[in-house]
Amino acid sequence: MNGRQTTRWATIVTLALLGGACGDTAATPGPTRSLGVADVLGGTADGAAGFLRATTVPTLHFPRDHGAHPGFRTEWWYITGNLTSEAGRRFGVQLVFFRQALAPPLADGSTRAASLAAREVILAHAAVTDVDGKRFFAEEQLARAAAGVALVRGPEESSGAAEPFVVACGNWSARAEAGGDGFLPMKLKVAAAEFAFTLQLGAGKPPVLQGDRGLSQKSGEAGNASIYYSLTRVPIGGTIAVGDPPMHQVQGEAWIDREWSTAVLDGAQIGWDWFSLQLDNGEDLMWYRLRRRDGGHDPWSRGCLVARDGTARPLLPTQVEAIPDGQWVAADGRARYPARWRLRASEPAFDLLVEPLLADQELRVLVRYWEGAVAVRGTRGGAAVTGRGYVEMTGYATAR
Amino acid sequence: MRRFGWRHHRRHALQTLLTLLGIAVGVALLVAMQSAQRTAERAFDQALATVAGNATHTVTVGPSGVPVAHYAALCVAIGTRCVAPRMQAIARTADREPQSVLRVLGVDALADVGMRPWAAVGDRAAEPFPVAELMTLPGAFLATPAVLQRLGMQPGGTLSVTVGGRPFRGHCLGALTVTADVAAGLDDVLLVDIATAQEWSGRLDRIDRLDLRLVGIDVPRALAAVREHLGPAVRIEHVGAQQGGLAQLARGFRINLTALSLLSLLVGAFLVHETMRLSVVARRPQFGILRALGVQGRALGRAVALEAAAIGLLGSVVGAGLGMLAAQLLLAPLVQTLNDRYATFSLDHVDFDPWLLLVAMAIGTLVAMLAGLGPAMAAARVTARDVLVPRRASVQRPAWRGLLLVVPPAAVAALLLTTVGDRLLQVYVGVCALTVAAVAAVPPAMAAFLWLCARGLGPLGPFVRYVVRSTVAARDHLALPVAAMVLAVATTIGLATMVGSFRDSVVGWLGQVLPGEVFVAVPGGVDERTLPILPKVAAALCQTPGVVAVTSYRRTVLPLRGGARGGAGEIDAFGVTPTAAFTRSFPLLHGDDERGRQALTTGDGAWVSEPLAFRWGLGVGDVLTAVTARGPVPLTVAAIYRDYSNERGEVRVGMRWFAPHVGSEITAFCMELAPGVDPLACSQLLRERAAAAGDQAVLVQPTSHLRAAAMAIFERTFAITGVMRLLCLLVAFFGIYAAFASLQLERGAEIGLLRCLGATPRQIGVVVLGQTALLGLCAGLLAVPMGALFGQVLGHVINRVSFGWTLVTVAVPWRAVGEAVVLAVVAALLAGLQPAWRFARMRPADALREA
Repeated sequence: MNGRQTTRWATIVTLALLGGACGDTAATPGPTRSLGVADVLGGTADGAAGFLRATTVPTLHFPRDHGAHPGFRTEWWYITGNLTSEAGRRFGVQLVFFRQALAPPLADGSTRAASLAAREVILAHAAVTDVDGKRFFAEEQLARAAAGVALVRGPEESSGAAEPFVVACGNWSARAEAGGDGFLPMKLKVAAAEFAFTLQLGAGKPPVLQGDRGLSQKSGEAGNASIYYSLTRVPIGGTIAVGDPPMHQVQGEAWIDREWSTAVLDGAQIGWDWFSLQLDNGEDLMWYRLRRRDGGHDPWSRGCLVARDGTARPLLPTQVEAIPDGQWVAADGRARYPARWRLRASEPAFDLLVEPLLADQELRVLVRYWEGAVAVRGTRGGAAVTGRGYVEMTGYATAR
Repeated sequence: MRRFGWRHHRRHALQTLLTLLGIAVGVALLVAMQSAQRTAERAFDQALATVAGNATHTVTVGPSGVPVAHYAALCVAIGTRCVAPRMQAIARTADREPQSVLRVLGVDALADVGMRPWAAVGDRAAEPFPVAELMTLPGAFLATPAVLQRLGMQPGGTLSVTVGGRPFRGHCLGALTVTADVAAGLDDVLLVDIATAQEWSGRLDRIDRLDLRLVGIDVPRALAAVREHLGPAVRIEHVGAQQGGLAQLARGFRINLTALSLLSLLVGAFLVHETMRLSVVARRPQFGILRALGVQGRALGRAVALEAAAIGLLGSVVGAGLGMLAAQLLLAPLVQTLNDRYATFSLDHVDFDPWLLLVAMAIGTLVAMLAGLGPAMAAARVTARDVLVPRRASVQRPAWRGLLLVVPPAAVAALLLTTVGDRLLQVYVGVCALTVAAVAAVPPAMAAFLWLCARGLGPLGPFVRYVVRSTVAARDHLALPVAAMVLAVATTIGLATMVGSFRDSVVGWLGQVLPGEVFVAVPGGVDERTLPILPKVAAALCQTPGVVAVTSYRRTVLPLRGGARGGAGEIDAFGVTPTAAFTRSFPLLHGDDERGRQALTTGDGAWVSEPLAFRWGLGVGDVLTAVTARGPVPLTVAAIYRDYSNERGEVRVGMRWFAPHVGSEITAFCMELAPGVDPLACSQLLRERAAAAGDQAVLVQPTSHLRAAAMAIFERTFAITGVMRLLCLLVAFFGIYAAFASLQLERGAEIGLLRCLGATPRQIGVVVLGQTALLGLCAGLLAVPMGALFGQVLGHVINRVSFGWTLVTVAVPWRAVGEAVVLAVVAALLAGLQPAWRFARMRPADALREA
């Protein structure tokens, strides 16, 4: 499960930091590039020296492990949700905070004297899909984790008085509220140039540990893994402002992904397609399909099906088939993405058509990728189902 | 007709060449000065624009900078996308010969994405930007390939620098790949992470300024947030408003050169006028014949005007060429002037604007045409009768009538110059009126002088009487060259008066303003935020044996406003802990009483420099508003002091006020030593103690050295007046020469008659030389009162209006006056040599026939 996320993070953040950005071509795809980037970032040949590696099955303690893991190089809090206003207007929302260490913590634990000295940066992406208005907005912020310009803190339990979790970059933040476990409920606040939202996440299904009890092996090499868990269905509600009328009261369901790693990726990977689907029968489906440079499917593609009660069932490439259909071309012609998908499996049996609620949900930020709200319809175990979800597609940008 | 003129000028090649040169020098100076100035200005603006990047606003907060916590709060309020921090400092290389001075530019590569793309992470497919090392490795820097080459650096190399006297190690990560424009703006820059800049400047929790890029967002709301989060001392400027600062900085330089350029154009105009007049006089017979042959007077006038224009054009073209060469030479001193004050430019080539060249050439040609207008009209008036019928002697108008012409311009000049206020234009007009009055006064004054000579010298014999009387007879003819000479000599006297008085004032002031034997400061500075002396170093310095009293300074920039003229701006401010000697001797102009003198000790009010008081209309007792980190604070003017160092003005405030409002760090000391202690030896001791105490190299100099350095800058600034004097002498010389050359043509008959009556060629020569000497003496003497008047105007009015300061006294330097008079006589004699030679060699028969 880490494959998709690690690749995504490594590409987005490290490319954003080091340049190259959306200039990815089929010949120099994101993952390959991120290797080089990781080398430079880490300052050593493998870029991982001085950082912790995910080598064993972790023992996760919540809410502590909802917070940051500074020994690892990369980490993120990934929130996507589908919402509907009181008037029936549909919205998609994405908010993600990435933490990237520029260098491992100093062995002696010393710090620099300058107040703006930083060894970590926070990158944040926020996006809103106004489905009925047929508009999509996306912005990013990038800042050093110093002096409170950007930060990630908590949750702390040791001192008795629990410090709630917060991650923030400039004027965007995800902040745990009182009355919960230090993580949920959580308030998301985003004010961007063309949109803003204030949303509250509540408690929903319990965390699902991806991979082997949270250790998500990415390739055959030991240590090339991440720690990965998901909260596949949590209630979300609040206000979204885009256009007229400016404020929409919205309610819906969100998906939270958490992952941290130091691992170096497989250079053969070119990109990935990731699905997080919430079906109306109460089940949730996650699947990521790693694409290889040679066009083949990566054997490390993974997924899971989460039952109404939160129990998870892993999915392997031998079980699931993801079939792209049609093509959507970005307005500037620099990226071509599959227009819709069909996800098919015989055991457990499902056959789902996944269609974007809006064709253009491409984030044209430092690294461009497609991440958007989708509608799902099809069959599950022979019965008709519908659903909502998010799909992410990376590595489709072409050379300029 | 054209060939006719060409032949004349070829025969008088030397004279024509001199005329060409006059125009050429004027145009050359104009081109050189403007080009050098514009080149420096462009480099300055480029550096500023590059560093400011795409910012729309730049934000500063008082003298102490933006607290990082406030910056963070602003980011939390309005996001990180439209705000980027920036720090600047001056670094000196410590392990390179020769030492380089570099600007350290500290930025945040993450925040600079939209602001300074060349200093930011972003779309750099071609080469990776080593942001991780830049941010995490202390001392890591990038620079343009040109800078790296100058430093002899390779990526991976290290560079020892000192910032504010403290040593640091820089690590070169590589070359910045930027466009040529950006590279030009970064020609002296080490790009470092903001955290490294904080560490190097010792300002660990501050930022110098924030750059805002307010595009596509609610600007008033964003600015309101800036004001709210950065406190009352915040200052928000549009980026464009910062540019043009060079105009201020190089003001003195420019005024000098503009004056010189105009003066030389004036000289050129005079030369053109004289040359053309002479040529018309010389060709009068030919013109008469041409008129007799039916050529219209207008055609003759046009031909002469065309000749003047041709001379002007030719001179202008030559001048433009010379100017392009001279600009190259001027650039170095101009850049030096700027670097004394501001930055660390290294400009090596001048940018020429074709428009400027065209305009300068047009001005040169136009001036020549205007100067040729009179002679052209004279040519047009020539009639056939003038030449064919012998002329009768014209009746001279009584000279005293000329006095009537003096009164109106003199009245205008007096009115303008006494009520001038701070308007430079009014001064220029006033000086012009004064000049006109002076020129108008020359003919009557000259008549009076000659009358006196005739009375006084008459008894010396008929020969002397003849010399005087024949000069009287040619009075009208000689008035203009004598006026030119008077003006020229008066200018040299005026300049000598002003420069001499200024020098005396500065020498006295330097003695009072630094009451001590040794001065200690932190190197760096150059108009950047002055870095402090580390407290432990300061303590060690003050306890050095031999030091008996210490005046300590904290230098900074304080936003101030107030005064009758509604002044406002960032003013150099010194927090001072004065010694008794400082309090006693400092040159106070107003408020020089017990209370005023003690203001710095008690912290009760500020001392304001004379230029600031003049510009803002401040008097003792007025209240300024200082914007400090605590918000606006009233600051009473306790005294006004003499200052020649800073034409923008400055204030000195007691440390008792300064410490709580601005800060108490020390940036400089002036130390008084015990009697018998050698300042040089003590300086060495102080240096060693500073190095031992805190690893900080401080600049320690005997104040006598500082004074000498200040005087050297003074002399360099006024060296240009030497060139002015030379030009003036050229005018004097050429005016006399031209006058006698034309006299020779007109007085042929007289000379012939004299020769027939038995005068020897030698006697004729002596007569001419006697006349020129007489004229030289006349011009020299008349120039004395006028020069003294010019000196007063330059010293009292121009200094005040241009720089805001007054001189202690403006005294006429009699030695310089004597020299000027002697020089005038010598120049006149020299100018008369060739005409005398030619007069003497005239054959009587030819002379009589020509007449």
